[in-house]
Amino acid sequence: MIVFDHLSKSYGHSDVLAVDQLDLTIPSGELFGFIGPNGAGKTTTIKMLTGILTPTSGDCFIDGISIRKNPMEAKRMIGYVPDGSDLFDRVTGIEYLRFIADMYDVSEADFRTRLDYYLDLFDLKDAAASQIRSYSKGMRQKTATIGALIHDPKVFILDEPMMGLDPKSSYLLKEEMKRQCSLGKTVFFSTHVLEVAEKLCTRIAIIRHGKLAAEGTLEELRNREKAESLEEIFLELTGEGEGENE
Amino acid sequence: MKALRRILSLQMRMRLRQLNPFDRTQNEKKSTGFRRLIGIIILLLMLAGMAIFLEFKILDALLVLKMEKLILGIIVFAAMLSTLFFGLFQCLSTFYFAKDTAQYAALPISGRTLYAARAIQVYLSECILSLLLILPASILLMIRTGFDILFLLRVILVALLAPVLPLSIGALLSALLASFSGLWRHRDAITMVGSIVLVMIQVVVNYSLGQVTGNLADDPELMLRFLTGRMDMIDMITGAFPPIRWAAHGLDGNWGELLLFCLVTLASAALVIWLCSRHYIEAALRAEEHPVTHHKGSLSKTAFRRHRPVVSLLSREMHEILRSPTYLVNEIMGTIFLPVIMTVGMGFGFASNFDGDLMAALDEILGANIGIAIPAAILTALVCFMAGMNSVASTSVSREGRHHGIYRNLPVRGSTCLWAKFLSGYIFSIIGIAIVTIVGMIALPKFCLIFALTALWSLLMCLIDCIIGIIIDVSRPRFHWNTEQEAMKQNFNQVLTMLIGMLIIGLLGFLTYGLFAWGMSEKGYIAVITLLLVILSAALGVWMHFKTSQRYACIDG
Ligand SMILES: Nc1ncnc2c1ncn2[C@@H]1O[C@H](COP(=O)(O)OP(=O)(O)OP(=O)(O)O)[C@@H](O)[C@H]1O
Ligand SMILES: [Mg+2]
Repeated sequence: MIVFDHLSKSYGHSDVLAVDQLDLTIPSGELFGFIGPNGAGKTTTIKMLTGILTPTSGDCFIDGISIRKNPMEAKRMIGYVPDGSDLFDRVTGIEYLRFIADMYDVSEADFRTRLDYYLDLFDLKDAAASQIRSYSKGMRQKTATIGALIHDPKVFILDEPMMGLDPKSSYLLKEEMKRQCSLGKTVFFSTHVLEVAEKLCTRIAIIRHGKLAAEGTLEELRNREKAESLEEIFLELTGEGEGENE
Repeated sequence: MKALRRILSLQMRMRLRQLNPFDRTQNEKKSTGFRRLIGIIILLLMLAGMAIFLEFKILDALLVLKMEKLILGIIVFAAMLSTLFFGLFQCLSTFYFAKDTAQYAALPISGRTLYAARAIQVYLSECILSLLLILPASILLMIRTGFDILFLLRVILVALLAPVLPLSIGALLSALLASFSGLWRHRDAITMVGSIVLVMIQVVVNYSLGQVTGNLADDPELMLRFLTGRMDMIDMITGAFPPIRWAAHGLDGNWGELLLFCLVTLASAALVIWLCSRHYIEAALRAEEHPVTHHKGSLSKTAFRRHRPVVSLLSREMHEILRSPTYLVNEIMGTIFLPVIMTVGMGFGFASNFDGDLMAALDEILGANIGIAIPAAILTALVCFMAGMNSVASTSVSREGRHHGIYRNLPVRGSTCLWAKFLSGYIFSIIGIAIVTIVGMIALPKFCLIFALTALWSLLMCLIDCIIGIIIDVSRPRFHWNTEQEAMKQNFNQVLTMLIGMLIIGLLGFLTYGLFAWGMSEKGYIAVITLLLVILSAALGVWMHFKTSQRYACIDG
């Protein structure tokens, strides 16, 4: 379970809030989509949730554990795929994954079975022994994804995970997200691909200027906004009244 | 503890692969590896050779005076001071400006663990300097005065521990600077000003430490006391900072002081790591937050002005340097600070040694028959020896790093890019030389001509240095770096450029000797040297414009 509690962030002593009093509860077993225009604050929210950024005010809780007060324990439950996937480049794929696994205390047996499973799944068996700096963008993205799943996290967090993936990998990743969800894990991801959000998510939140614009199941959003597709809802909620809070 | 070991081994592995000449991606030829290896070996030999030569000379002189033990004090002193000097930037950039902090931050690693791992990394990379300084001299001393296994043990112990104390100071200062600048909006500017101030303080401290030794030569009474053996020279040299004295005495066989040195050193390291690693990750990640400025419609008119490509490229290079504390401080240090301090220091030196009749004294030293050429040549050599450390030019291609692709993609000739890079470095040389010249002319107006000639020659020589730097950096760029410090300071290309610059100066020195021995007139000599420098810079310029730019246009990032 993930809880955002009055979460706010302003970067570098500026008075502009990148995330503004975000309140949101995501129960376990949910596949939760987080959408919003560029610069809305999605990455910022995710970075605070994973403990990379310190909130200006408010807090996030993973299964009731505060990321601010108890970061180590909270981080242990998280698997995180960053956007852009900037990885250490002079290590091989295997070395990278073993390093990540070490940080989470994964036993050798577990590591082997999961590694086999995921390398097979994402078709990275051949590349795993060469250095990450020789990888393509999609290969890095997949390596980062495996790194996030290697310790079997309770909460799986992805920032624009489909970016750079080929259709097959993208399909496989979506299936994996569903599988994690069916195992009772919480999956939280941001995306710009509305079709994916529409098909995949059990719940969706739309964020704009760092504030929550809407939240609910697709059905609820449809009824509330009286629109058919998620695209219409998105444009409705984020498009009009551009100047209202400038 | 386990996490610490793992992080360390990961870092080591990456570092070693970075240094390993045979570590390559599939598309590199094998021969490049061999060439690189040979290059590195030659470079190391040259550096070690220089250190050994210098220490050998000093030792020789000291043996004559029967004061050979003094070398112990000198090398420990040198090792600690140079570590303090370089260590500050190393700490600042490794601890607070590393690009991989966010990757670690998402993992369940405590700030303390990460800090400790990085501290060890900093220590290991600075250790080499201390070993390079302390080991050869001690071995030379042993060769001269007889082998002693206990002495060797002590030497190794001291060489390994010598960098710790200065690095602790550097770490503490950089932590203070980082947390202080974190309180402000214009963090980068404050970091920059802060590090320049710290460097200045260091220079002053070094200078006053140097004065301690200088005093001995000045003060006949001290000299007498010293020669009659009533005073310990090591105390004299190291009096300013007790740990150096403990280390020197420890090397000399005083186990008690050696133990004291070890304890103080280790305690300082433990204390600093404990202090600075509190809330470390938050502090380190602050470098990734940038102040947001909202200027609606208030963009200045200049933002829209159109420029020629070379001007635009140049201003981009300058922005990069001026906005990065690491780059700017490194560059200002080498190219502007050192030559200026040297000339100013020399000026003061003269002034204090010959109070009152300075001019007469200088006249006497220079003598009527030497004229302006020789002093100008010596001054040029000194200025260029230091200004030759133009790290902007000699790392300009490596600094492109991951963004090299953007440059390659521009519809601009390679030569245009290279000239822009050249200018961005040369501007700093010009500033340095201008300051030296102006200060010199004001302080010693009688020697205006000497300074004018020095300025001319230095300008030519630095031009040559900058072009050579770019040619070397294009031929072996290093795009994979993690901190700006790595991109700039730990770039072999820069050292290589410096060495070639010194080689040229050395050759010109021989030529000077030859020409005068051959009976050439002063005017003739000035003409020959100037002509040579002009021809050399023109040739190198043409080479860079045609050959190097072709090569630049086909580097694979
Ligand atoms: N490192 C940073 N320093 C300062 N401000 C930042 C930084 N990163 C993001 N911001 C600001 O925070 C706000 C939210 O950015 P964020 O990256 O969270 O958006 P996003 O929703 O992820 O956008 P996108 O869809 O483009 O990825 C933006 O206004 C941006 O300008
Ligand atoms: Mg984003």
